[in-house]
Amino acid sequence: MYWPTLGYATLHTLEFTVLGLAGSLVLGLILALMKISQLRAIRGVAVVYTEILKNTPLLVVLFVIYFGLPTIHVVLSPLIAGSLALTVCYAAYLSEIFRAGLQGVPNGQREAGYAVGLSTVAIYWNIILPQTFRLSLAATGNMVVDVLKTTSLISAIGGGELLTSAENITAATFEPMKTYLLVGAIYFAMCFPLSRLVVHYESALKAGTHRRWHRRRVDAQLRAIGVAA
Amino acid sequence: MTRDRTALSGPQSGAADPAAGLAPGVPELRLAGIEKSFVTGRGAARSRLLVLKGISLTVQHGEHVAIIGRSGSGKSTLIRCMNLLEVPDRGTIEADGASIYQDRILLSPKQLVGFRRRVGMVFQQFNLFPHLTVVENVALPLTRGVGLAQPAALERAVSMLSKVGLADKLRSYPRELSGGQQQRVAIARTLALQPAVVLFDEPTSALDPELVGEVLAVLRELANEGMTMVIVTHEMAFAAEVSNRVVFLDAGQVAEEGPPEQIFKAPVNPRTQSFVRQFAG
Repeated sequence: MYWPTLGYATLHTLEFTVLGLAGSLVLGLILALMKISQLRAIRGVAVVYTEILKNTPLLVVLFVIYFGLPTIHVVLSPLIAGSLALTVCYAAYLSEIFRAGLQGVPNGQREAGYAVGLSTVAIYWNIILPQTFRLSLAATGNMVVDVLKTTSLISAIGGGELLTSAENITAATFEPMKTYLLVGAIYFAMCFPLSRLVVHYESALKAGTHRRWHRRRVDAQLRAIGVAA
Repeated sequence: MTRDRTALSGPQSGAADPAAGLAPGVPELRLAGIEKSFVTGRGAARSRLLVLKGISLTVQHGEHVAIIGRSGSGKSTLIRCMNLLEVPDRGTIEADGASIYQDRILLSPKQLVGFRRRVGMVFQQFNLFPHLTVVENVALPLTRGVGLAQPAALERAVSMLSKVGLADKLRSYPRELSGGQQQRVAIARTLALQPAVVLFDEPTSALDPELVGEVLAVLRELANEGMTMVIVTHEMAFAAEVSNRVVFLDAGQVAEEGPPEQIFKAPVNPRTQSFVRQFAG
């Protein structure tokens, strides 16, 4: 059978997902921070970027990157091109989610940070972003699942992920029904636990049980200075 | 980028004002001619609202100054100018004789951070960090701001929380505490920085009436210890009891200023008279 092929293809799918996510999380956060900037020009750049990418199909972006860029001598591998397309498109969506999260943190938090003598960077890193993360978690989690599913579009440039290999297998076996159902089941097997994980983590956040490791460390330090648990 | 305009330490020449009369030494905080306006409305309806109209105020070392006045008189804006959470449009601010602000010229971000550690602030809405436990709320500014090691920071945090009577709440989250307890955590967080002055912006206004007492008790204790304090408050009895000096703010100006006996018993300004009469019932 084609199990080894599908196994490798699954790994490639995860590879695209991880790279695309990592890129879009970073770029999305940068864009979100730009959107809350005091400077109109910086806000403008981020807003224009978001509107363009939000309203362009990912497949078209992918084709521009993979087939278009070589005409100006930028030749990218399917892995890089695919991950890049996911990054630039999902960064637009994530930037909206993160912006809402950033603006959801009350201004008093920022002021309290300044009032206790923290620098702007320290305030963002220790106060604003952790709370933004909590506010954005549910929506971001949905995006993670979405990115995983959308990697299938990369089959259009022969990216070597699950759907690409399904097409190859079908071409050889003439069993499209069986093959595509199987591939669908593999996608589901990855996506379903992922969405459950997001839900689980969200309720852990609400219950305050999510920082177990961190709190154990603080507890140990408190005991070390003689404060009973 | 960092422009070193003024030194933060050491008295400047001419800082000691001979006209200050009773002033013993260099004041902790000195504001002169502070003006602040806010832009309201948009487009054609856009206009400037002048909230502070040239306020001068000195806070001596160890003094407890109460700022009173009607809603909208500029009390909160004034106290927020004192640690530059609000940047005035005009005027000068000196802390311990060093120039902090002069007509739009601000300290570098680094100096500003140092200044704000010297001038602590307690907010009406507490503004605790909801994602951190009580002890972490107090320790965070020490580790991430001052640069203390975690054990030393926790040690100081625990001792400050004991001081405000919350040693048994170290591992709680702010949402698990009552308003009074949250405000006491906020006070501990400020005190942990060992500030020279603490600014209280209506510290009991957001509290249920039965919780006001526990917060005032902490303030009273601080005052007895000789902490320099500026308090914006509607608790007139408390202001009369704890403060050495009361400043009555009216429409963005200091209408009257003096010892509590004068302001509450024998105010001179008619506007102070009518304000005080309301509270006397």
